[in-house]
Amino acid sequence: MALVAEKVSKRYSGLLALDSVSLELPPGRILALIGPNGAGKSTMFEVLSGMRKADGGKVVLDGTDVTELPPWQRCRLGIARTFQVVRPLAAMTVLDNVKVGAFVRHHDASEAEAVAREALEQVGLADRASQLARSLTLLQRKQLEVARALATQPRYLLLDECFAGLRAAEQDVSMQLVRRLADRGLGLILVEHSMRIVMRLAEEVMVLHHGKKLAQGTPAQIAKNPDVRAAYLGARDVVG
Amino acid sequence: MLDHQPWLRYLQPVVLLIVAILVAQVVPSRYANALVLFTLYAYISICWNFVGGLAGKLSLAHGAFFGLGAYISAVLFVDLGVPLLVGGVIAAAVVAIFAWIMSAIAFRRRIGALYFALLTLAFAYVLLELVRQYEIAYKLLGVHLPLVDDPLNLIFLNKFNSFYIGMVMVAIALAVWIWVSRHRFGYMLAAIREDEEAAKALGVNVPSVLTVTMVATAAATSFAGVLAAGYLLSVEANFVMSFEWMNIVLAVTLVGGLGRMYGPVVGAAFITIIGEIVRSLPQSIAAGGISTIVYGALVLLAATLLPSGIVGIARRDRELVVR
Repeated sequence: MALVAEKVSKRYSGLLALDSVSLELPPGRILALIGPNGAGKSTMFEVLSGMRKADGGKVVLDGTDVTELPPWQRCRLGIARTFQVVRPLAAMTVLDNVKVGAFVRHHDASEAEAVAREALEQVGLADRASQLARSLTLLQRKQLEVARALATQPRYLLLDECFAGLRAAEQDVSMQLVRRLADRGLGLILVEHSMRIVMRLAEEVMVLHHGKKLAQGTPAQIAKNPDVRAAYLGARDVVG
Repeated sequence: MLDHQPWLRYLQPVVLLIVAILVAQVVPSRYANALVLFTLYAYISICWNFVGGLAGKLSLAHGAFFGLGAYISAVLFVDLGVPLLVGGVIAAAVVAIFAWIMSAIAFRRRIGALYFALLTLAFAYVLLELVRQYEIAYKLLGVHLPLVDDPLNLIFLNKFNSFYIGMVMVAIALAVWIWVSRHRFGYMLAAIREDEEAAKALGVNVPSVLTVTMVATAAATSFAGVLAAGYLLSVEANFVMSFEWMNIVLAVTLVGGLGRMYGPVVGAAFITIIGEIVRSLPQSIAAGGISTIVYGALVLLAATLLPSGIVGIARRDRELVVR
């Protein structure tokens, strides 16, 4: 039982965005994917969620090879994601946005609505349910991304910079949510720039650099890793 | 407030149907033609609204699907004696196959909105040309149904009966709209309209949802052609396959309210009245495609002044499609 990437490679017109990167995410684990811009973090999300096909390697979901499956099928099998550049269904209400996700597992409309409302509750958007998604602030749109992904009731959740732009207190609330989800057995991958969040939340950190895996380990190990420091972290940022 | 009794919504089309039948009792018979046109416009536009309004795909082929329904069912009736309704089912199957082929080309991979519109336009003209060539070869004077009262074949001496049948079709189409927009399928369509990538990530099988929608609405649209065949009695390629029908559907839906349940009904009433006014103008003005100019102008006005159509003025409340 795990979400596994086996030696995944992805090339964008000459540029090797991912160079034979492997990862394994068991249920209940929080894995942080860090690295400078262009390191391949978002590409890894695209490949895991199926939005883009890998040029090499395999993606395996709880023992099933999903490498050739389109994103909607992977979603039904239990992989959900958020988009770094948010994609609200702008002319629909917040509740209807989340209901789309809930319909993946609940074909009954009132059941789907209950699941959607619960997801909105969890991210703190419940009081915005009847608003149009386009009227949300950027922050709320990020919460909507998470609520929609949660409503698909995934086993593995890929969160792409969903903490960015939150104030410290809001970050704490979101961190508690992520922690709770992991406690419930969800496997989570975070792409995150804030070392404060990575250090506090992640049980495991993978560092990507130029599409290659530079290091992997516990937050403490990564913080001490000289390669990582030298590569780009900047020693002072790491002391969380 | 109606949410506690969702089935109450399905009473709306029934009420509309009853009101329409009652109104028809006091309408002078010279307006029967306008009433039938109204139901054809409204019904085809509701069908199209699933594709254009809910899924956000600009199909320009539905006018041709209507014409094909009329032509095929008329030819089968006149040449082979196939009852019009049976011929209508055959016509719907043929139209469904065309729509499926079109969908297979269009939705296999992600294509742009412009490409899709052009593809459907090309399909419409190919179908028009096929029917036209057939007509030149075998039916030089068009297809003519006998004028005898024959209700089972939708041929009525009392033209109001065609209107009643048309209203039943409108009511059924509205009921389907209510059902779809409250269930999973409608949400998947609306998600596709808003953002295909997000829809995919939310488990929506975009190609198959769009294909089902195209095929189902194409077949449903062809039934309007069957009603028209029984009503018109003389079915000619240049009339039933004319792109004018598509122009009207676009005008009806945009003026009434794109993606709104009652948009096509309100728009059809409006366009029918405009059409009657244009028809009543002196011959010197009414000739030469002035109706097309009027429809074009109305679409322009609607697009700039009333982006949510006439229905949008009255209803700003929650629908799957709020613009």
